[in-house]
Amino acid sequence: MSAAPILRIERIGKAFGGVLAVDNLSLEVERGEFFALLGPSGCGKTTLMRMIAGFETPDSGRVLIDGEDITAAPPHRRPVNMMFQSYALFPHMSVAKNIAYGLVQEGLGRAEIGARVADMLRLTQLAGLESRKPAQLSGGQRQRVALARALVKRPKILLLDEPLGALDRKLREETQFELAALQQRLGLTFVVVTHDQDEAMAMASRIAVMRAGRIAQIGAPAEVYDRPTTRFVAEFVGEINIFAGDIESVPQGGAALRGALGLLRAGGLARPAAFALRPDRLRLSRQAPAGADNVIPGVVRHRAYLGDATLYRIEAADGMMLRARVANASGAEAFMPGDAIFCAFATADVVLLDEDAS
Amino acid sequence: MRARRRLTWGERLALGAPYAYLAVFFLAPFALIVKISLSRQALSIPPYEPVFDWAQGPAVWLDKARELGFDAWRALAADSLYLEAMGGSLAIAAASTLVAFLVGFPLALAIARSPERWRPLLVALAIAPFWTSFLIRIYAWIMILKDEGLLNHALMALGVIAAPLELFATRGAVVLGIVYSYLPFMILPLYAALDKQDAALREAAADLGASPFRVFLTVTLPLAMPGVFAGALLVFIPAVGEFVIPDLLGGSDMLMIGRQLWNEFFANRDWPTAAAVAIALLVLIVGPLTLYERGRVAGEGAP
Repeated sequence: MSAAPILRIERIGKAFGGVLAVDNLSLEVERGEFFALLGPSGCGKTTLMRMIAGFETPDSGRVLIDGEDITAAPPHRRPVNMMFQSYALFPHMSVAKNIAYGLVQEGLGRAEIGARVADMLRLTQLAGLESRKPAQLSGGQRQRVALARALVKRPKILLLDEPLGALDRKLREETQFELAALQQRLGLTFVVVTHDQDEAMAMASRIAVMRAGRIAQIGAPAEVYDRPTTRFVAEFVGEINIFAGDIESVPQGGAALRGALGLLRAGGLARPAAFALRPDRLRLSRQAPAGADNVIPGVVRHRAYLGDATLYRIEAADGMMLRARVANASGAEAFMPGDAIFCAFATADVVLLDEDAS
Repeated sequence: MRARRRLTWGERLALGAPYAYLAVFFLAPFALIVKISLSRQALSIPPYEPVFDWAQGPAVWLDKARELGFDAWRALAADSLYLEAMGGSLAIAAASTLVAFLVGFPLALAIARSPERWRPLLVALAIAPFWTSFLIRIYAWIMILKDEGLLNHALMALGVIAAPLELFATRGAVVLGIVYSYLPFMILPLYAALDKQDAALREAAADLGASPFRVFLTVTLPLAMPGVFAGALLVFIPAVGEFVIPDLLGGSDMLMIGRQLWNEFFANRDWPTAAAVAIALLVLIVGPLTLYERGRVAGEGAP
C-alpha cells in the first residue's frame, strides 16, 4: 500500500476554441472514496472526467493515478474504466459479450473470462439475461450491464458519468443505494459526475462543487450543505434564503446583519458578503417565541404540501420572501396563507457566504 | 388482439400506388419478356413468333399459345457460351465489388470522421463525377489506358517502363472502369452507416482496453455491416449486367453476359434467346438476394 492518493490532478487546464472548460484545477481523491464532481452543465465536470479517462488531452497540468503520471497515456492504457451516461453498450453483442469485452482485450483465458463474467452477472443481478442484446433490456438492466462491463476490469478508479440520469425516479433512488453499497463492498474508488445535488449528497463521501472550470467548494455532503462558503454553492446545493443588509462584526464576536428586519446575528467569519439560511432551519409559530436568537415576523403567502414536509413562502416586513420547509411530524401546526406568524432561527444555523469568485 | 380498422379510400390509394407502379412498370414488361423467351425466332417484325393480335380474338390466341415452347431455353442450356459468360460476369462483378469496398471504405470513413461542416462538401465531391456524362468519362479512361495513352506515356517518360504496358482491353481495365463508375454507390451507404455510429461506442471500447485497430475490428466494422451489404449490392447488381464498360474497356474476346445479351438482341436479332438470358440473369441475382434478405431479417429478430 502506497500512501499516494489514488487520483491526483495537478493544475490541469483545458480550453475548447479559446473557452476555458477546466481552469488550473487541482484535486486529490483518496483510495476507496466515493467522490462526486457536482456542478451545473458547462462547469467543466465532464471535461475533467474525460481527461481522467483519456478522451481529452489537458493543455496543461498532470493526471496521476496511484502515483503514476498517465497524462499522455491513451485511454486503452489507463487503469480506469468509465460508465458512460448513454451506457454505450455494444448493440451487436450480447450482455455476456459486452461484459467480457474488456477482459478479451486483456487477452485473458476463456476460463477466467467466463468465471469473472459469471461473478459480475451475479453481483449486478443480471444472471439469466446473458444472451440478450442491449435492445432487449429495460433501462435499469442496461444501466447494470454498463456498470458490470466497467467493474469487471477491476479498475483502480471507476468513473461514472451521470450514472442515474436515464433512470426514472423510483429506480434512481434504489440504484443510488445499490451503487453506494457496491462501492463499500468492493472497496473501489468511484468518481461520479452529476448535476443532481440529491444524487451527489446521497451517494458521495466527498463532493467537489464545480463552477466555471474551477472547484467552488470541496467537502463532505453535510459540510457543503451546512457550511457553503459562497453564494453559488449555497444556491446550487439545496435551497437557501439570502438576506439583504450590511454585515458588521459585533463586539461579542461574530457578525450581524443590520437591515430592515432589525439586527440579525450569526457566528463569526471574516469578510462575509452575504447572510443566508437554509429553509429547513426556520421554526414557525403563531406566538412570538421566547429565547430565540433571531425572530422575524411575517405573513404566510403560499403553502405547498409535499407529503413529508410543507413548503411555505412567508413575506417579511421589508417585503423579502422567506422560504421555510417544515417537516410534517405528527402534531405539527399547519399555517394557511394570510396567517401572521413568527420565524425563528438559531445564530449557529446562519451561513455567512464569501463573495463569489467569478 | 386488436380489431383491424377499415382503411379509408385515401389510405388505400396511398398503399396501392407502389403496387400499381410495380405492376405497370415491372410485372407487365416482365410478363412480355417471359412470353418472348417462350417464342421462336422469326424473320419478321417483331422478329419472333407467335404474335398475339388484339383483333384476332381468344380462339386464335389459344391456338397460337400452343406454339409457345422452351426452344430458347434449351439453346441456352445446351450452349456453354452462356454459362461461361455468366461466370465471367459474376467474377468481374465480384472483383469490382471487392475493389470498390477496399477503396470506398477508407474514403467513407474519412468523410464520416471529418469535421462536421466539411462533410456535405466531401459527400458532394464523392458524387461529383456524376455531373459529367458517363460515356465521356469511360472514353477518357480509354485515352488513359491504351498502349499510346497518357499512363503509358507518363511511365515511359519517367523511365519506369521501356515498352507500353498492356492495360487497355484487359479484365483489369473493366474492373477499373466499373469501380470508377460505381464507387459513389459504395461510398454513400458506407458513409451513412459510419456517420450514424455513436462515437461513445468507440470511446467505450478504447476505455475497456481496445487499441485503435481492435476498436475498428470489433466495433466500427461490425456496426457498418448493413452499409457494407447495401454498398456491395448496389455495385454488384449493376456490374453483373454491365454492358457499356466491358464493351468499351474490355477486349473483344471477353465474355460477359450483358454483352452476350446485346449480341443476341441486336447482332443476331434473336429476341427469344435474349429474353431467356435476361430472365436467367434476373433469377441469378434475385435468388441469392432474397435468401440474404431473409437471413438478415431473421438475424435481426433473434437474440
